[in-house]
Amino acid sequence: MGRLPLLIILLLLAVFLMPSAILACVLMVPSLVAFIVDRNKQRYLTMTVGLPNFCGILPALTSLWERGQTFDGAFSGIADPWNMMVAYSAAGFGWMVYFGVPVVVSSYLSISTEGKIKQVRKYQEDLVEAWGESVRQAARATASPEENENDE
Amino acid sequence: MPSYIKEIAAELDYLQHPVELDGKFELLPAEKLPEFQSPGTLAINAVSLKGQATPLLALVCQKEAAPRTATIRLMSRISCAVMLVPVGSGTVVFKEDNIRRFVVIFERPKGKRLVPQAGMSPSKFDEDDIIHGVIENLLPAFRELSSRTLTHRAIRPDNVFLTPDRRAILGEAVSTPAGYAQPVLYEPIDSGMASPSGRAEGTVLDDYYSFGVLIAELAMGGTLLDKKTDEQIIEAKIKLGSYGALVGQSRVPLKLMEPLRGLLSDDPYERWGIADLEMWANGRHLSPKQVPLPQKAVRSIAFAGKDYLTAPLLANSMRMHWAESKQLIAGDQLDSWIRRALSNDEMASLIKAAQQTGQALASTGSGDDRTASVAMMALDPSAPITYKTASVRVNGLAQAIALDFFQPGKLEQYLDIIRMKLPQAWVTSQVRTKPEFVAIIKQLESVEQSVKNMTAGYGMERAVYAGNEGWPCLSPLVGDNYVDDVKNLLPALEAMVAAGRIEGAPVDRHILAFSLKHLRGNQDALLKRLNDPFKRDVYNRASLRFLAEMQKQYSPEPLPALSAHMADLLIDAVETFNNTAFRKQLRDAVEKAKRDGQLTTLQMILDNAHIQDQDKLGFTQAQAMFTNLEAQATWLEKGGLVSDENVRMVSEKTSAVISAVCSGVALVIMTISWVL
Repeated sequence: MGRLPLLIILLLLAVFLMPSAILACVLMVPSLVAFIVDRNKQRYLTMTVGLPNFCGILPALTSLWERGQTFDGAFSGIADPWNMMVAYSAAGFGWMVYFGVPVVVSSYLSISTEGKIKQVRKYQEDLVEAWGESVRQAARATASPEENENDE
Repeated sequence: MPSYIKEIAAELDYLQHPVELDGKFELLPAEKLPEFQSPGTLAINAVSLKGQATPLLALVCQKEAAPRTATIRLMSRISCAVMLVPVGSGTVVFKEDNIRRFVVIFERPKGKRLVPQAGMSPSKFDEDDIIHGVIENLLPAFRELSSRTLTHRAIRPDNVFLTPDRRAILGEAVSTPAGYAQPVLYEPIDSGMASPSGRAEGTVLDDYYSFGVLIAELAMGGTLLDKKTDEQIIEAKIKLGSYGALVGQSRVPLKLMEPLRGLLSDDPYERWGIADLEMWANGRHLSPKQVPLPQKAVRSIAFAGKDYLTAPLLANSMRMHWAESKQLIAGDQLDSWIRRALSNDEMASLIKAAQQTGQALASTGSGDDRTASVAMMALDPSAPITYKTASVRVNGLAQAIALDFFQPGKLEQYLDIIRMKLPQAWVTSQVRTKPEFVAIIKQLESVEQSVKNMTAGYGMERAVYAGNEGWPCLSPLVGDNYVDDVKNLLPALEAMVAAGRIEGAPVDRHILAFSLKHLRGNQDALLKRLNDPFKRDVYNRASLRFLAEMQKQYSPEPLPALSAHMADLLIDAVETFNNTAFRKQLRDAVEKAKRDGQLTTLQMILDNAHIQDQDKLGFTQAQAMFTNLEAQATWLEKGGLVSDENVRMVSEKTSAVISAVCSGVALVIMTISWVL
């Protein structure tokens, strides 16, 4: 599905569920910010922040729906600091994950590099054993022009 | 014995162990029978294993002058007391040298040969002995030959046996090609002019001519042509006619003059046959037509230091002086002699036409040779085809190719004869046409097709086997083995390889030409691979495929020596495989195939494009994979995995996943709590 039909559906939903839309818009401001600053095509940051943020607005939305989808209900929900705290804390969790994970990932990759190199070299040795030294020579022949180009 | 026939009796003196032939006869090579030896054979004792008490003799033949296998088959059905007919034949392997040889078995004739050795004249016979003991006694043999349209072609004094009661018995006629061992004296003029290899099967009329010469010799105790050279004999026969040359004015019994004139007639259409002989024997007097001698010219023509008055004599001399003949034809002297002295404009026109054709072929370099050959046909249409030193009867070309295959220079001449369509020219030159000419030309055209194709398996080698039924394989690779049956080819090669007498691939043009006559399926693609023996690897692989096909179709028994030999030739091919495990598997398989003697298995391993392609493809993929892994390793070693960009990329994905999982869990909890 293209973006335009999705936008139209969202707008229609917003029109019919205007109170809920107003409430969600206000409570999901962190996700909007994440969307704006996210430069990655895959929108990993938006996903990381948006998903917990959405979970965080669900209690406010259910409460609104229980009270009958009114603008009053929506504005009182917005004014409720509890709702704000829950939604923004959830978004904060997302941001925290986004900024905290690289430290862990970096450490993990540093540790696994040696193992991966060993694994690749072992696989290469297996190939040489199965097909002879000429496999290595042919690879060198292929690599050497590229190396020369790089050297130049 | 003629000098051109190889003597094998002394060579084979070492053969001692008895061998069986077809479970019917036992050959005893230790018991030699030189008195029954035919030219180019070894005569040994033989006994019947079926309990027949008749003394037998076996002639061991040679492949260089191969026996007449088709005639053996037909003659063995004859039952005739006055002619040696084969009672058995086939190939046997002698234990001493493990070589297969062709053997023909005969009942031993009673009596002795008319003359103990070839070239001698028989002593004079009484009139009664000749009439009753020779002519009348041999009539049943001629009757049998005539009724079956068979030829003997070996009627000569050293091949006629005389019983104690002075009755003649015709000797064997099948151990060498038809007429091959005949002295020129005993052959009609045209056959005598042809080289022994080119005399062809001929007709039974040739036998009657030989019989006439035999009677003349018996009646006179020799002939007027005794101690003459072959060329002098031919010249005298042409000049005086055969009867005039052999008998002349000599006194011969009056009663014998008629058959002598009839049998020695130089015109085959006038020569006596069985009907004439039988009528004469029954007392009816016939007067054979005198064949006119060649027309004499009003003045002679000088050629090669002699003067000639008739065209056939001149043609005969030209045959022996090829270079001078070309000069004579190129000049005006011959044309003017034919037109003015012989008054034969037609003959002159034929020579003129031959010159024009020759000029058209001048670019081939042999135009004047063709002109000389056709001019000789015009001068003497009854003479055989003559080209340089080759001289063959029109239907004897294929046999001549086979017999002279390894004679230096001969093959090229026979090739020229075929390419220049000289047999067709000879047929055109004939005054009287015969129905058999059509068949002869048809066969020659098929030979021409084989000869024109220079691919391995065709060429002159194919002409040998296509034109001579049952001719043995002449390949030097089978050595002295007599291989006339394709089933015996691989066993012969196996024996040769086992004896260490073959170094390279055991396939040559002869083996291909010989086998392809029998091999089923289209082998053209294989033959193309066998075209260039210098491309060793391709040739060896194709040879293996060919031998494997042969084994599959004809010799399913194991051939360990041949398999080991081919494996040794091609073992390098295994090393060209890239996959080491596969190489080991192949080496093991090759060893097994060598032990089992299975060429088919060996071929599937060593000449298999499919597994070679698979290996190449696998190697290419392995190379690509290795290169890829090398790039990966380099990237890792250069810190590609912990680079900022990679860490950021991985972290973003990881955080999205963690966030999604946590949100999912939270959503589930909230839903449960909301529901509850």
